[in-house]
Amino acid sequence: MIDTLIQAFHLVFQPQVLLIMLASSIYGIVIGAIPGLTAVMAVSLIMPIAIFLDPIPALAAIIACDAMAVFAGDIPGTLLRIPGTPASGAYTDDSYKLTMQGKAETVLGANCFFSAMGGLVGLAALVCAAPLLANIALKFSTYEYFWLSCLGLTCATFMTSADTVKGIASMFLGLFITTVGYDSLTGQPRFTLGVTELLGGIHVIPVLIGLFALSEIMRRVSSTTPPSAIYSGKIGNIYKGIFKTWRNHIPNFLRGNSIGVIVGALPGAGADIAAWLAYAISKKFSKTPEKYGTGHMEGIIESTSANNAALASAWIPAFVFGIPGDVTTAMVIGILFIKDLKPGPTAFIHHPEIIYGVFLCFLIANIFMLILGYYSIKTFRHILRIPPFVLLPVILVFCIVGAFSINNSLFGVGIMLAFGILGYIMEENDFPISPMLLAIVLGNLLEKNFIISMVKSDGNWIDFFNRPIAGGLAAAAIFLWTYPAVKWLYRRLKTRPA
Amino acid sequence: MKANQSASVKKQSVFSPLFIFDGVLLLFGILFLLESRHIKRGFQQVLDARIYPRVVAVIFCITVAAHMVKIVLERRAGGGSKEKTPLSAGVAFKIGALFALFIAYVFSIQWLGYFEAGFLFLWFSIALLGENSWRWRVHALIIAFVVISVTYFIFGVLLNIYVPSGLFL
Repeated sequence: MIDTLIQAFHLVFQPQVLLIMLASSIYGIVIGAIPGLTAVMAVSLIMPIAIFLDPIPALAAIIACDAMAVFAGDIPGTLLRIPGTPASGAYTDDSYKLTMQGKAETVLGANCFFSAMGGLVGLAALVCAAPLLANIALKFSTYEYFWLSCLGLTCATFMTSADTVKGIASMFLGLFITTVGYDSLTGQPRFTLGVTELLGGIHVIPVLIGLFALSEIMRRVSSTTPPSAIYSGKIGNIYKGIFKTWRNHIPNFLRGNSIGVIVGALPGAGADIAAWLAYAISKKFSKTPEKYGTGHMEGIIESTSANNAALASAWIPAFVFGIPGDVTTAMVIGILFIKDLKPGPTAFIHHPEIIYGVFLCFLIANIFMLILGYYSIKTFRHILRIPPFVLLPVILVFCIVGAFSINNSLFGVGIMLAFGILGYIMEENDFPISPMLLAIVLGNLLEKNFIISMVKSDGNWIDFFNRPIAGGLAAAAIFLWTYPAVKWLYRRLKTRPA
Repeated sequence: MKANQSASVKKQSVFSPLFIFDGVLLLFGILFLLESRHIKRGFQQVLDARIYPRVVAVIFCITVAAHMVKIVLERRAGGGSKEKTPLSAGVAFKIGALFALFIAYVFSIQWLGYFEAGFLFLWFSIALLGENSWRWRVHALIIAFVVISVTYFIFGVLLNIYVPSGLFL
């Protein structure tokens, strides 16, 4: 273990890696601080560059960018009442009202400090849980992986959408897309329509740039919301009195982090849900729930800790089972596959230095957050002065380079354009796009494990339930599939007149 | 007369953009299901190469059809989700023009090169989205030149990513 840790130190503590982390952090802060541009968008635009980097610099760039963007989303929420990312939306009202009471420094300090602390707690959970779970996961066969994939997709579908049917449709659309190209077992081409470029399947990078960046640009162009005035007060030392705030809110800090870690580790949930759930639970258990929404620190601390704790714990299922915890880890899995680093329990045996390297990257990213957060808050006004009509075409140019660089052909750009339009129409009609992306990432794993299991069992379905862990996972998945129908039926029977 | 009027209002409201989008998705699912006939079986005896995509397509079609039925039932009951305000003509023009520029950019990148096509795209799109004045158009020209030079340097020189060469670079 010590040897591996030293190896990881050598991989991470290189000037090139640290510089990449610094650049990604600044980039993440800029994107996260601009209202409407999400952390997922920031990461999706960094992916084409990450493909060309070695595994550790690539993962370091993603980790730093994601953590900073989620934290930076708090800044416009506090000073403008416009959350920079959806994760910051839960406590925007409280943050802004405290700013109006002249406590901008305290709120911004809490945002930065508790985000970094949340990230460190999430990291601790990742360090402790991942190796333990990996030992259990080594006993998994294709049956367990099949059910785990089903469970992951089900959780993602149910948690990211208010309308479950839309979530399911989005997820199946994603599974559909993974069937394009050569069948991995029989080698037969499927749905290629005679297009040679489709034989290898649809590449995930242009798809995610289209879904998360291009569609976001379209939404921003069509947005009619007038720009808000920027907070004009002076911002001094944001960390003044931060330890006193911490001491006064230890239960909130602990609960927020626990919620973040648990929600983050659930496949498909992610930082946004963690923040909203933490805020709701905080309010429920608070002695002063009436103060929530009027400028109350408890909800802010709990939610801001939760969203950053969720970022690290989302890597637990990604590393251990190869099942993404959120959209960012879905992209990470895509990158790992491209680099021939198959995520899963065997990664702990074959590439432990990469795993430990990721742990170190999380540690550095959260230390960077404390330092860069301090300065970014002071320069925030300059970031917001960039007019959207300059920013959006520039992002479009980045999108083009990203999609083009995958195969050095315009086909990737066409795919990006098609998925951008699809993503825009889907979101305009309240279809969630996260289940689709998770399905695109998990689709091949699901199909492969399903077919190998069927071949192993000679078509006998009973074998899918015979092994204890497979049976347990199957029961959980089937329970989740049937629960909405049972609930609906129960309600109908209850309301029916006797 | 009133009953007829209200019936026609209800009938119109069922065909919302959401319903039409669902219809397109259903059509897409059916087309994929039909297209699956052209997939060869392959060597597998237990499951051939067609089964899995067919299962996915069938469940997808059922889900979308169920959603369409749900919309109809909700509308008949007088509920359902609120219709979104349609885009104004100005905004729709801007989106359309930006996309026309984008498509022109994508197709011209091979002929003009990354730097030149990118510069023209940025200049026109920043000018289009910003103020309608000559001063802004000159500003847009400077911004476009600076941005494309920086991105060319980062991607083409620093990261050594292949970008199509053109007239000048």
